[in-house]
Amino acid sequence: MIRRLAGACLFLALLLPGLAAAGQDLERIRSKQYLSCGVAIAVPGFAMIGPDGIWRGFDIDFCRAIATALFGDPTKVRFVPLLNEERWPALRSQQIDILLRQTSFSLGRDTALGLRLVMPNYYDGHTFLLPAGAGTDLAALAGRRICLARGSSNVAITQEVLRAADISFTEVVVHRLADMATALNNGQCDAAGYEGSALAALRSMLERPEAFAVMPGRYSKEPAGPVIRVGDEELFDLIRWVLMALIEAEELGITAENVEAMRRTSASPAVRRLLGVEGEAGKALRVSPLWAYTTIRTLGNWQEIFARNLGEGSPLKLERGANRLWRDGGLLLAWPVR
Amino acid sequence: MRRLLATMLLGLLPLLGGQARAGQVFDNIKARNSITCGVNPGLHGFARRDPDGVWRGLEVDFCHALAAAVIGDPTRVRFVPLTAAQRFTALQNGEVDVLVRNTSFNLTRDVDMGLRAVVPLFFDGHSFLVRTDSGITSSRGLDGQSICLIPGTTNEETTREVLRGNGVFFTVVPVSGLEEAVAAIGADRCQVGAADASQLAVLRFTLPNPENFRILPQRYSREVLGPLVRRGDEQWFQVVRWTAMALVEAEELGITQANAEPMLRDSKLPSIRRLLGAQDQMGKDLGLSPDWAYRMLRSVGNYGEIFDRNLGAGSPLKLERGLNGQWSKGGLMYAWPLR
Repeated sequence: MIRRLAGACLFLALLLPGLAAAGQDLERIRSKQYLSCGVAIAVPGFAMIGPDGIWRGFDIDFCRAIATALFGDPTKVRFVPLLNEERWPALRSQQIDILLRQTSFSLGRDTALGLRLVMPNYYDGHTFLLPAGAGTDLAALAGRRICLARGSSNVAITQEVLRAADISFTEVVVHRLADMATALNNGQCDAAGYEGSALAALRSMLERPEAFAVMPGRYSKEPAGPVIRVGDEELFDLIRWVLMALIEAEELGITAENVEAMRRTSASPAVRRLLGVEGEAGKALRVSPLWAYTTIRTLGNWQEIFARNLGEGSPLKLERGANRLWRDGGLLLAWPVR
Repeated sequence: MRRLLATMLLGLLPLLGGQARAGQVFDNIKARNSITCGVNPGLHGFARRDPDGVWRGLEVDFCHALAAAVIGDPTRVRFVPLTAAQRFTALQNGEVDVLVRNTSFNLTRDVDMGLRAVVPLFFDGHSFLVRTDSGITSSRGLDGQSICLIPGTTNEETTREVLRGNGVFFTVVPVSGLEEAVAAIGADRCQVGAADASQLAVLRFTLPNPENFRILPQRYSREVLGPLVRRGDEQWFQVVRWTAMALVEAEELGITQANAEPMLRDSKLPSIRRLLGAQDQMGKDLGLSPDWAYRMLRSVGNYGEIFDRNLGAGSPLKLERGLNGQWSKGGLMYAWPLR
């Protein structure tokens, strides 16, 4: 019995340092030669598998960007679509390496789950979808049946916001965005509560999108971005700096189309450092010096990823809002790559 | 025996679950009953001892905020003045718990030094201080000038990059800090100062004749300044990160040093109640007591108050909030929700 006790303790003692050892997750990703990303189930603009079997979306492209920076190859990635209630267990059990699923950052999520919030790749806010012409403020929600996603923070936010405004409503909780669309189509609910971008995606899935509108106000801050497990500082580095590089590329005017010419001819030290002509950023991140160059050439800069999936190149045609560069009045700011 | 084994395994489960466990830095702070903060040796607005020997500044107030949050007493701080040359080593070898000394975040410092840049506390940018009568309006006018700067800083690199790009010939006059720069300018050993705009504001205000000098309006770099910690201590990283976030969130919610107590008593808003500890125990998973943010706000006020007192309207520097304003007011200060 004592031997079994000692064995169990030894097993746990060996396990515990592994939890805090730097680099273990990244090493595992390198050895299996692909990155596993937890994504949403069929959300237009963010994560959607097409009839050709290819995943497309804003979060999909960020996942490919990280894989490209790491491996030089955007195809070294697997997408795992997850329900809300599956996302934390999938990450904690190592079924996925990164959660890139428009997960809203909060203190609770940063501290209570054994997980780490890296950096937002999208700034959003909670709002409501309701029948077009019904009104643009919270009073228009009185008495409505509001569709909400099970396991999302939006349930509690909706309750708080409407309770504070003394507005009564009925909750209709469903699993997936597609279920919300069905419920709105058949009248089971006549409003929905979610991040503004998710509601825009939802609206595009409705039988009659023109019959509904997303309210203009935002009732919470929802900074969303990649989430990983605690313990791997090198993976945190990689994700943080890939996101920074995509923002920096837009700031420096580097696009998928001109990145090769920029690398060959630019005299700007910032450009040269980012694209690996000068400096040792790649070495510090333990990736190729061409990490940012290849990523930008493959996926484009932040603005190009946004335009393709959510902006003018997409059916959703979302405004950038807070998701513009700092010098254009938004929140996107990259720390220098040097 | 089986029960003992089960108890031991159960005791270890929180560690496996990754819930808040005290990291080494937190343990050391609790044992010492004080936080050791690396700060600037003497920079107006950021960290400086006033004539009564009291430390004052943005960095100083952030350290007081950390002490209030972690220990419950804002005065439990030991300030360790560090030069630019000393600052990283002091953090790497454990001499300080956190480096709050105005330090630009960049990839090397975040990734390659065993450290971790936590969260921006102040957005700044490189510029030049010139004589008003020099007629210089941009970096192109710096041809032939002698420029005072601190060697080994990002300001030296930026100066060289900007002026090399312009094909400008210049001489570098190395100084170790503000006092030498003031003396050098006074003796005309240099005619221009090169540093971040906030530092130039301090330099200008320290000169005997500030009205003879101006700071060029251009910003030749974007300097993101904030605290750094040693990497690998997740809990301490989170405490520093969320202390900063709480200071910014408090300003957004309208909680001030003066009204924190009545707010705690009377507010029905869940976001305010959560921040001040009246509901949801948000401090628990940080390893802090529920009223950590309340104590902090009563001690130093919110981010806007800290800024005003040290750098803004309530100080001799009179810096505009600019990028350091709330995100809803065109700035970059944006706290992730404390829920």
